[in-house]
Amino acid sequence: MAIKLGVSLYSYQSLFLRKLIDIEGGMREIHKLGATGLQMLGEETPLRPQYPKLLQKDIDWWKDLCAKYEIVPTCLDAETYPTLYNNRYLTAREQADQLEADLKYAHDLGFTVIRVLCGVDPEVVRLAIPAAEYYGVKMGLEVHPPLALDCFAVRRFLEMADESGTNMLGLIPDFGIFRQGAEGHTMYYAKVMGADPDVVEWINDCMIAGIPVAEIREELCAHGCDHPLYMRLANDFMKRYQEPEKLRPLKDKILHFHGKFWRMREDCTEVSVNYPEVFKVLKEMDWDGYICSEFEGQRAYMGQACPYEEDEIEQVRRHHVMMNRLIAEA
Amino acid sequence: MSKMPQFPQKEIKPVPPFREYPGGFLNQKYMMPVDRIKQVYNDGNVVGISCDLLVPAYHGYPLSMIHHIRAKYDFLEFTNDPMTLTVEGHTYTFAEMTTMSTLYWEFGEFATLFIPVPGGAGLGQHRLEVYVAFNGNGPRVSETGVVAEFNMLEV
Repeated sequence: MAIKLGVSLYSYQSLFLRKLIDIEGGMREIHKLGATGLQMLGEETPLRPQYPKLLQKDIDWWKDLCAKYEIVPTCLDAETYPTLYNNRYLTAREQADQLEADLKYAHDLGFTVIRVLCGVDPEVVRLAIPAAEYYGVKMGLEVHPPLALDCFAVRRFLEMADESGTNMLGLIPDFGIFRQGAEGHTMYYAKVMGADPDVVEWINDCMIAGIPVAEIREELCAHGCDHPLYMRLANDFMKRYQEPEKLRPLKDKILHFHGKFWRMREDCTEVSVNYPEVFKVLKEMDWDGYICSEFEGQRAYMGQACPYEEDEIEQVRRHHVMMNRLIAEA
Repeated sequence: MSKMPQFPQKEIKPVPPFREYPGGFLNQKYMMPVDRIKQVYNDGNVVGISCDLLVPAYHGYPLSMIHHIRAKYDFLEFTNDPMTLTVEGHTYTFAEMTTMSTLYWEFGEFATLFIPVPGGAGLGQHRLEVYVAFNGNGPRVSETGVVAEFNMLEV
């Protein structure tokens, strides 16, 4: 029983966008880290154009690469498109068909889990259970803000799983639910663009202390700091901090973790996500499975006005240094 | 509830001005390279301009999910048809794309937007703004916009 590490190719998205890396390059980077797990989005890094189409030669190519770089495909991030057409919402059956196509794709490439987006109706997942059992691929509900480990949507999903009697359903928590302060990448962006570093840190301290956003903003305005750079930081739209202790009763339900992070410091610590406490709890629980790095700091610097960008490969490297350190700590 | 930390006791200098571009951020920086904005000719006549666009999202999208593309060229505005989009060498109208649910605008692949600007871009400085929106899961449809300022040196 152990925590194993991997990388979501999503972490290298701006490199993929500009064709500065390909799937083999991504696997090579994972291998260099000494990790084995690979998570990806089918529509971001498809093996051939027009996802989810695959030929046998694509599957053979993929499996050869996995063998060459000692890669274990862990989680395929599935998408459903309820608004595939702009004149109507897809029926549950149509959305389940999309999940079934993802389950087959995952099975063909050796993934053992697919991620079900946090907004998907449990009825859609229920309809796809026979396909999950047929392909031997589990479906994990993404627990991503605004969802929480004990929120209504997660409870409803787990009840549906129990009622169905299947063992093919579980949860995939995203480390975004363990964010305490402001997002690290947004804080760095604000400082680069000229915000006062002490005010930025003050906002972060307030967020960690749980001060309501309205009160933080009021105080900022009282000091003449009503610039959007500050206001965007004092924002709880996607913040729902979860005590890591809440993971304990869910041990048998957790299929995989999305190792979300926004900014790694040079000393290989994450700015705002409570990684140390989560790893401590997971080790005490003796949880067995993969945590795949999911760098999402790009959101801060992809604006046209932004004068910098991060080295995605270096950010992931630092993330793995941190995770390996937390695993090794007693 | 915790007590609010004390606000920094110092003079806070105002944030220096910087240019905010419109719309969402994802891939905005790479979405529309200025050097790929071109005049479009048909039978030797200029019929408009074109620009190459990368998908402003973290994955590819089926063409039927393009809610709209809006372009502002200098003082002219266009939304969907009569503009067209060329994907993998095939050109489609926006009306056609509404049912194209298995053809993708792939992540990292340029799609070419044709904008029927009468007479094309004349010599000199121009401004082109392009906004892309995909079908949202709710009533809100958000756009990612990009702005290019370019100098047409010859026509």
